[in-house]
Amino acid sequence: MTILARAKTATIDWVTGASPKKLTVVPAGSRVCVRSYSVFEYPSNAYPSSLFQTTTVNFRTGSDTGDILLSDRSTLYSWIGGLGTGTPTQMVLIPGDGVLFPDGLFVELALNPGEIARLTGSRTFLNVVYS
Amino acid sequence: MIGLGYCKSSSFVPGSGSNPSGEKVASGRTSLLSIVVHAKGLTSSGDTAHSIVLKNGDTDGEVRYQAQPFATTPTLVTNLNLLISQVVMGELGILFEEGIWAEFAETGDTNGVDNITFFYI
Repeated sequence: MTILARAKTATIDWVTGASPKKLTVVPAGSRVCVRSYSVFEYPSNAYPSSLFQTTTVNFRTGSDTGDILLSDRSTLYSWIGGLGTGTPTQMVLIPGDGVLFPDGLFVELALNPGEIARLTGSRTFLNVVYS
Repeated sequence: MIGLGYCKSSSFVPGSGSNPSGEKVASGRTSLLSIVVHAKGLTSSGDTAHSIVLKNGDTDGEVRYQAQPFATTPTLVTNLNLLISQVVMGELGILFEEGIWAEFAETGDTNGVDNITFFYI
């Protein structure tokens, strides 16, 4: 059985206009196994300016421009009508022993394909559990 | 319990790649363990989403998995709900002897998915 007590976590909070949107979770030269992750969107307070926009998350190895071994998009959930906004979402559990990143782990939050700008007020949260 | 070892992963973005309607997301003998489906808003109110179809090998292959994704109609409220759904295929997964081909069924009005992430061995 895998010893999960050795698992670690990394998080990113990407606010519009802020940098970096890339994070070196583990530098090149180490083997990393991603066990689970979640990525979700906190919409702008200036509703409805943030309609529709989600975020692509890419997990790379080798460098922050290395091969993408895992990719997904953020969850967006919002309750309109002055009752608040938020994005409760589950962690995605990767089966088996997870996805192996043979040469470090580099995480990137990016615009979805075809989008040219991030909407003002958008905010993205990423959690990744790895060992 | 069977030791599955490490997973491989790939993503299917509908409408991208060399084939706009379908794409091979994994080659060779593959066991699909899980998918993560990301919803997008439908085009018009009242539309229904195309179902996801996973076939063995290519578009002429046998259907091994088919499901109707969660999708929302284009109103101010529901277009702010772009959720993911993770489907776990069980410990052994679903076997695709000739690789995994992903496409959408003809039935339905529009595409309600903008990304599917696959985990397989």
